[in-house]
Amino acid sequence: MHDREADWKRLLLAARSGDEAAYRRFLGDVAQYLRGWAQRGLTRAGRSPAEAEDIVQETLIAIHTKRHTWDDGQPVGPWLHGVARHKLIDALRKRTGHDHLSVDELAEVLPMATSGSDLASSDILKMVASLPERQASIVNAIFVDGQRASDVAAKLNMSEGAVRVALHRALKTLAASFGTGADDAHG
Amino acid sequence: MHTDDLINALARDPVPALPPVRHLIVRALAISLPVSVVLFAATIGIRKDLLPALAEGWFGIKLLLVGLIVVAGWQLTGSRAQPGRNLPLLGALAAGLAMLTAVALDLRIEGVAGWTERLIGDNAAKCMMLIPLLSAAPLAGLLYALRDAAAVRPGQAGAAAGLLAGALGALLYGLHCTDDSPLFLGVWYLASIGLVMLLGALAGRHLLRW
Repeated sequence: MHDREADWKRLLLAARSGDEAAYRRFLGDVAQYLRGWAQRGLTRAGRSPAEAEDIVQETLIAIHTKRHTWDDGQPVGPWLHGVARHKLIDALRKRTGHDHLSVDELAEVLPMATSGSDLASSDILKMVASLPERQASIVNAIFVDGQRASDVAAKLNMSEGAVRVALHRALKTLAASFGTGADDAHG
Repeated sequence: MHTDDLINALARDPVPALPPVRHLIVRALAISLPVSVVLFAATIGIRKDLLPALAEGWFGIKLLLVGLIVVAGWQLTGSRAQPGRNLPLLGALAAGLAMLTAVALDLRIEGVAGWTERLIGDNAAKCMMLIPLLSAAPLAGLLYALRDAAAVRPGQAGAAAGLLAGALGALLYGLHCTDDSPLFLGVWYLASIGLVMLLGALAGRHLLRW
């Protein structure tokens, strides 16, 4: 435990001074650690450990966008657990079923990962931009601007069902190119 | 794409990290506090008997007590806005103890007789109204800045921001107000700051989720 703390701190400090390889190693270590942690947490909550990868990815994104909230005078472990617990609780609260895609629930989970200037030009948004135009605007409206599916439907002159179908397709495309977890949890 | 690819994408993200939370808070106050100062100067302004009041003692103690609440609010805001932090209660404890000591001093020096007049004071309603008003800009600024932090408990972070903003508003108002008794302070100032805390907590629960 002590060694891990020292490693993480060293890597994160190096990352802070621009060492991309150190940051990659840090995120890799953390991902591995979080995987076991999330699986245990999910099992304890009576949920399928298969959802763990989703939580790992969401937590990694949160760690990245919120990395400035780690103060280098503080230990890394408690900070990281704080972020991870927050994301796990979020996931447990918001994901209700495996076979049902709730647009508004997803809309609540995802905007933080993509809102704010931090990720504005990041790969995720680039991926969204590579979607067909209508799908991209729906994804942006719901995930980035946090609008409700019904409002987007009215604006684009579509039925709400059509918006949900388009969004589902967009998510499948993104999931295929971005994370394998999305299909496990929402498919 | 797999988690490894996500990690690669994150490691290559060209957007730099935001400044430390402390900087975000200072920046928010540097922008929002002048709004309150201008509002204060343009309306009620500093009391006319500033120098004699300073010499008299209770006025200085009042500013000191509110200053301690500012420090407590500053510590709590920083810690509640970042994951994995302990609750820094030292500042709040010091402010509470100082307040109790001041109340005891008041009763001993000014006497128990007349304590109700000192407690009720002359401007209680004004105080309850103007402190929240003078706190509005800093509270808005802090909440806006904290959206870029990471509050694990958004309500608590909002309350901490309310404590800091409320104490800053109270410090400004205290330069105007002629009720200097710690008894007055302990009731009306604290109630006003508490109101701003409550507003901060309610707003924080919605605004500071991430």
